[in-house]
Amino acid sequence: MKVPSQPSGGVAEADGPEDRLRRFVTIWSRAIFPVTATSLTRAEFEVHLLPLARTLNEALHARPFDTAPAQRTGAALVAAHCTDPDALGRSLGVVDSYLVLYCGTESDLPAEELRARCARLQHAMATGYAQALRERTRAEQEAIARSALSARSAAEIALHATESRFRAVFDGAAIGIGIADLDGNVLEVNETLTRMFGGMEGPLRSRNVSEWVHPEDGPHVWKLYDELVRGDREHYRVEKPYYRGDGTVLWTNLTVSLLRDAEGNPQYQLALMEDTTERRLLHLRLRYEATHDALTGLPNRTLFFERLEKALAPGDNARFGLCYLDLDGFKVINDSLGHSTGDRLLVEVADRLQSCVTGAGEMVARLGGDEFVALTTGAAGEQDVTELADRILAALATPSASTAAN
Amino acid sequence: MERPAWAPPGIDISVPSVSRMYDFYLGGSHNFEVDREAARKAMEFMPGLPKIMQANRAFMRRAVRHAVDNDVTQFLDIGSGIPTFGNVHEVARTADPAARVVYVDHDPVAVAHSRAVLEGDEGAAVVAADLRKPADILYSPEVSRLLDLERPVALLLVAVLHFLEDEDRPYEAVTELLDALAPGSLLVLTHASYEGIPLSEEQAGGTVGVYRNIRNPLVMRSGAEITRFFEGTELIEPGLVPMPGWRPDSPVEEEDPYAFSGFAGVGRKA
Ligand SMILES: C[S@@+](CC[C@H](N)C(=O)[O-])C[C@H]1O[C@@H](n2cnc3c(N)ncnc32)[C@H](O)[C@@H]1O
Repeated sequence: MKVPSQPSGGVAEADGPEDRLRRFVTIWSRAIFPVTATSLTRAEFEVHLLPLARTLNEALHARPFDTAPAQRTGAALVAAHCTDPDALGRSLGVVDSYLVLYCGTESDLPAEELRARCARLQHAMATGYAQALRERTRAEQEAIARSALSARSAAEIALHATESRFRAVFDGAAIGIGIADLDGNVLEVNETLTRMFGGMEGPLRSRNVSEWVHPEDGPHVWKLYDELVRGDREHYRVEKPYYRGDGTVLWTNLTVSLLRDAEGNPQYQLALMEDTTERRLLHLRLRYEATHDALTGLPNRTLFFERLEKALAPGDNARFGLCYLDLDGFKVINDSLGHSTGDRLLVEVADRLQSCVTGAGEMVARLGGDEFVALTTGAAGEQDVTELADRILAALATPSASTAAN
Repeated sequence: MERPAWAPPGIDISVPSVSRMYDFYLGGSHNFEVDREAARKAMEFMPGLPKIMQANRAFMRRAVRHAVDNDVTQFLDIGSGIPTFGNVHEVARTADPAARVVYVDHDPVAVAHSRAVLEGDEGAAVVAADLRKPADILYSPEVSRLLDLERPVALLLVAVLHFLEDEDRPYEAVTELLDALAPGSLLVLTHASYEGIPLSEEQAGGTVGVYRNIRNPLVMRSGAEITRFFEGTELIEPGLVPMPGWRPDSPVEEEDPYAFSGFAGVGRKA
């Protein structure tokens, strides 16, 4: 709708018909502006009312008399957002009191006729207003309902697109993805996750997240979990073992995130799991190789010194005992009977030494060549080591089969 | 993955919407009973709310005309709401038929309605985006199609910044938008405030509570805080003032006392 920003119309001669019409408009505008919802300024609003007043004025004098223009005037009020019914009531009041007074002076119609016409114009204005308001309300209600519907279907299309993108990520991911509600009910798992757990979705889906306890769970794992489902934590990342259906252990790097709904309320938990079982095994094996003697399988000097260092650590006032041994004449055996005989002897000695190790704080290591060492740590280190030494001497007393020739 | 695919979208017409409540205050019927109910509740605390909105719309008209009079004929209207009497493109075009307007709102229903109203319009379009993510607005196809960012743009943030809480970083958002605009661009802004309301803060707070309950908190800011939005621009005369006082074209004394709630201002980027 266009709104003229400049007052239109000719120059108003003081107290001429045009001037009187404008004064009528000013009264009208003052009366209804406070109850309109128009965004027009007062000045603009007056400009908007002027042609309406002119129409009423012309209708008042027209021959033949016709009320249709007054209906249009009523409708024009609605178009300018004078939708509060009070705006109609006040307009009719102004027309009733002032139209004939300001615009009826130059008429050759008798005063009664003017009064009667004015009344009928008011009826027509009211009809026009009511019709326009009803039309407008209906049209706007329809329009907004249609917009709500189309917004919804647009959202559904967008949602569908997100959903299929999400599906692609979910299904194709190389990491395991699982979604559960905050009570721990598993809602969805992807194929990778199912495979990690042994290939069967059923057992995975039917168990509550809180049942996935493993004795090797880190001390904080379940505390973090509780914080997350309570909404106090957005995510956490831990190393966590699980039992597979067949009882074997699955090690994972687990990241759990809290998903919130549009209003920000916690809604789901999303778990991303990376299978680290093999890596962990490899790591364990490498660690074993780095700390054990390849020939005899005994702990090597690296592990021995690690333990010793621990025993010597400040603050740790536990005692420890050491017992060093080497094999008399080993070099002669090696030189005369060959390396393989020497090696067999070393393995046998190692086995015998290992069999002497019974307590948790006891250890026998091969430092290199024919040098071995026994270490006891714990409260009664000194006494323990004497006992261990006795056991070792006894174990070595029997002649060795591999060197029977000796 | 910001929003899980199975979370419901943000269209729930059983929840009141800020834009439809605003339409109701302005005498429109683009609203549902839930919206009217919430709006009536807000009006119980502040019966003059419609007068504030009306003054807001009237300020916007004057500011748009001022922009066109100063040869700024491109408009970026963020938080534009439901199109109703006196839309920016209509006001701007009566002054310059070639004016271009991009509307932005995050309310999907308001956007759908704007789209319907603007269908076939070559010089105006609507973008569904959030003021909190200026890049989504600035790099939208509609903005690149309709606005020449090498030339001044009037950025309209009319009755919208008070829906951004401090943690939404409203100041940063405004700065980011202004940074993308050419020198000579205008920032046209209105903002709710406890200053100027002809009621006790306690009573006005009831209205704030209604908006909090519909999860669209209304953040009342002080005049000083609102002035900070104009950083990087120069406030043009008469500065940051109650809405009716900004370059009025009729006597200010005649305005409803409620119309003086909150602030309006226009800044010009150097
Ligand atoms: C009170 S209305 C103002 C409408 C129009 N600017 C005016 O002053 O006449 C506020 C509008 O801002 C929108 N809005 C609120 N927060 C928004 C956000 N973060 N991003 C985009 N629009 C937002 C609402 O959806 C609503 O339509």
